[in-house]
Amino acid sequence: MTDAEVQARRWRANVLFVGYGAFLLFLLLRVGHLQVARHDVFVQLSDQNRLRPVVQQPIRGRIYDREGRIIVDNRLSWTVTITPPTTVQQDNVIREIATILDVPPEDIVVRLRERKGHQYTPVPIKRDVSFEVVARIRERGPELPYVGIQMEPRRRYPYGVLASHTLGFLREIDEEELSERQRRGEDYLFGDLVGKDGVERAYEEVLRGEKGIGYVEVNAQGRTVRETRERGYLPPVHGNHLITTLDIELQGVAESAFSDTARGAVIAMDPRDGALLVMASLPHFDPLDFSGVLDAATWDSLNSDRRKPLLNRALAGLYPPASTVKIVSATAGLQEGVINESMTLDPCVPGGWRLGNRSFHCWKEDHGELNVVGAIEQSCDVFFYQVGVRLGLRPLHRMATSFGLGQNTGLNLPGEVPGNFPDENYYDRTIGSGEWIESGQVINLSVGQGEILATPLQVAVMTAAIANGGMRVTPYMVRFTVPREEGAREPLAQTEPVPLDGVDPEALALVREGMIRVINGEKGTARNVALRVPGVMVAGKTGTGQNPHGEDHAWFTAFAPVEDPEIVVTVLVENGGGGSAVAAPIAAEVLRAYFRDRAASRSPAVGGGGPPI
Amino acid sequence: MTRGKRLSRHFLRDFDHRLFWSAIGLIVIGIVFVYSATVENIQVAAPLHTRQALWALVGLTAILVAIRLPLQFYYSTAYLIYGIAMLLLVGVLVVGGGGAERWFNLAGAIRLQPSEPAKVAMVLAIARYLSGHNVNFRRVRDFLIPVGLAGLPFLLVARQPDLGTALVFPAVLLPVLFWRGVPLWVIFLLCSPLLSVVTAFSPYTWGPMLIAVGVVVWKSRLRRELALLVVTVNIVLGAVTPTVWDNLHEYQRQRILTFVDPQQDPLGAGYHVIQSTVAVGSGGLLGKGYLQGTQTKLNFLPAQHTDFMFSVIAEETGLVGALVVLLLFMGVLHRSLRAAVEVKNSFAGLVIIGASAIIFTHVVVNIGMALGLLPITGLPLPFISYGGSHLVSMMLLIGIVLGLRMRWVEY
Repeated sequence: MTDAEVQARRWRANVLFVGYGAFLLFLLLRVGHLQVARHDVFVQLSDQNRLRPVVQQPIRGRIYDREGRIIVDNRLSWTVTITPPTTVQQDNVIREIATILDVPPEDIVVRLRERKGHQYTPVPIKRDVSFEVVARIRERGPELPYVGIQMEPRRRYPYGVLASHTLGFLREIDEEELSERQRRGEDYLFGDLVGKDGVERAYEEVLRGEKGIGYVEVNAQGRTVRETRERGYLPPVHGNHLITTLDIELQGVAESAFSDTARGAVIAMDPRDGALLVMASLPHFDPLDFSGVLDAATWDSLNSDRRKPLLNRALAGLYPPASTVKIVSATAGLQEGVINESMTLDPCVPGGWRLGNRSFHCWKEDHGELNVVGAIEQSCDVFFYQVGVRLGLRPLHRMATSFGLGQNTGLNLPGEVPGNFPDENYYDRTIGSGEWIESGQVINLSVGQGEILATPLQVAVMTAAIANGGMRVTPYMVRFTVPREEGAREPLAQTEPVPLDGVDPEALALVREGMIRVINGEKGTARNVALRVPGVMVAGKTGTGQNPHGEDHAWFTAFAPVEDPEIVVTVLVENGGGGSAVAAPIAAEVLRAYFRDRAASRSPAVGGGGPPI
Repeated sequence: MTRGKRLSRHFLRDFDHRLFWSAIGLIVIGIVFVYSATVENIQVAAPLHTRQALWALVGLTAILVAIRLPLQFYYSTAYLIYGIAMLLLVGVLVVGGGGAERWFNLAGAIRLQPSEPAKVAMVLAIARYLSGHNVNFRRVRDFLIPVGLAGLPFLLVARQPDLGTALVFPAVLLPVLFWRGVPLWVIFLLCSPLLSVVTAFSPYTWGPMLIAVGVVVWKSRLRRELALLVVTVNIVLGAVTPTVWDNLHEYQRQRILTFVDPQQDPLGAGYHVIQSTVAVGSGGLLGKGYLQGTQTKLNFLPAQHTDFMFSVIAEETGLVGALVVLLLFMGVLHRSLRAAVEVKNSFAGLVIIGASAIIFTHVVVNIGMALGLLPITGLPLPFISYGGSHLVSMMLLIGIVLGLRMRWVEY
């Protein structure tokens, strides 16, 4: 081999060395670029791969009644979730899990599609599954990536469906509310349960607490490998408890006093401050029906039910208050001086009372000559027609408004409706200016018929004003919150009762006297009913609301004891018939139960002793 | 026994310790990180480091055997070995039948991947042909035969279909031809068809390419018909490439597309590339620590113990580890080139250059893939990736280089 050849070989070896070296150097520069210059980006991407935020669900606060009895609490349940896939198709997984859960696979697909833009958030597929289902899923673990089991607190109702309308229920947050709450910066996510009615809804913020956040490390198959605190951990703040003014046993008495098919409402309220002891609406629904997922069918059937089981009749049911409103008419008449204690008006006789060329009939046409107390006792329409005509619309409307008719009572529960007590503007608007005759309308209004509509809660407030000597109360139901950590009760501010505008005690005393005689008088409309409560004098007023669509609505509103009233009970039975026959016995049962308990063990102060926390 | 004495004397003086220990270093790193990549990995039944270590022992035996074999053995059996290797490649196609079949299933769980020994065989055959005294590159035939020797395994492996591995065969040919005295401009013209294909997708790249080919042809004063052939081939290839593109296997097309822009399909074809670069990039300067690589341990990195071993190492040991690996490869390549210079035998030099070219091609293609620079081809990282056939073949190559170098005085 010549020197020239050796030189040539050396040269070629050098060229190859430079060539090889250039490539490897380029690779090294690329490694350096990735590992040094763009290190932060890739660390972030790597963490995104493996770290999943896990919401730490707060435990919702419990709801207690006034005796410290738990009426809504929580138990732990298993929820099956799917965390939408990031790397694999998972049709097989969906089919598999659908079989185990016994739900149609399409429903799961639809549900996963609904979840927009909340990546890595586990989507609840079925709530409250049995332990068997959990075991089956755990067993199949590796074959079911992305399927998770979460422990989730679930509402429990020790008293079943009692007070379901009032307490409300939890349901999965709908899209509208979700986006609204997220816009306000609240930490709600798709699939969260949220209070949808009643106390659950009104006190959502108090009961719910705040979510915490933790992180888990997952592998590429989406399985959790371990929990990690490297990104910190924010524990959830559990929700606060509520102590309500409800008496759940009294509520039970009220609800079971209704027959199975009856519809209606019962209110029991302390007339001194507006604390609600009972708020019942029949028929029931089961609050647990909504707390799962995929409840569209249940929801639709309840919504389309003609008996309207979801309607809270106590505060959203509108009825003509009928004769119960006579206590307002009487007060207005006495106050305005168009009648007085002893004054009698045109007698109630067959053929009715004539005004102009029309005659107006009483439900019972032989009351004869009555004063105001007797007219209340016997609920004489003819007497109150005349009171109305003598008063005129404006004073009657003013007094009704003063008693709280035609407006929300101010109870902090969702869904309340104001009802209606017409004024001049109303008739101008609906009939036409100058085309209605005041006396004609007033005759109707003064006995609670016509365009007048009221809720049972308004009637209760109205009754309370008579009972307590002229104070209008704002009903309330939640008296204390109890923070989980401290455990001490914190009173909620309540609206103080306000005196009715210019109502004299003498006028109210006469109305009360009339109401006492409704039950205790010789001719009282409710005298025949076994309404006696042992040792307690009860006053009340019946009402029978004419209903163009069917049977009359039966009313009865009462308070007791008459010397120092501490409870108002208002009962409405939809299409029940006569107030004295149908509504009054229910009120009597509630009152008897109330006073029996009180005699036995009730402490005079509300909620004796602290509730178990 | 003069022979034995000579061997032991050579062993001290001419055994290339640096080459040997660079390779061993890479193998040890391989075993250590195969363990990291497969321990507690739900995708493999058990850690595979012991099997890899066993294969390394087989490879050591291969090195010892290769060292002891005389130069004459390689020279005289080169074509025979090549023939056997080609038969194995044909056999795997036949046995495999329909789908992608790259292995022979031997006894038990041992599988032979015949494309691995075929690389060694091709280098021996081409070296034998090119070391003949009558080779004259002015004759087209003397080009066509080595091109054919590389082309046959290329076609057979491409049929498997394993385009990535197949491309190793023509790639190895270039440094070998260069070593044999083929000028660089000829190498350029030999590569020009491939470059035409790559640049054909845009006139802005294809135009300059054609101009470059024209200039080189004109300057080189090639025979007219040959010059015409080169220019024609380049024009035709550039023109038909889009059609060929349409007829590629979908997965090959996807790989190439994904190579261009992995972000296009982050959950599908681009997933491998993205996860690999994430693994490397998140490793940083010093890495996440041995057995601590989250991309590896949590299976975000696919094919981690075979194709993406470099990413595993880079994630767990960072830039420092990557540098060590690249330096060791550079050491292997450097020592091989030195050996090629020192052996006085033309056949031996060509074999050594071929061996270095095989190792180099694998390193660049594999690491380039791990870094998101090159399409995913499934080429293993020499000495490091898990796989018996590959490891033993690579160690055999090292053994041949070591042996040939020690016998440089032998003729």
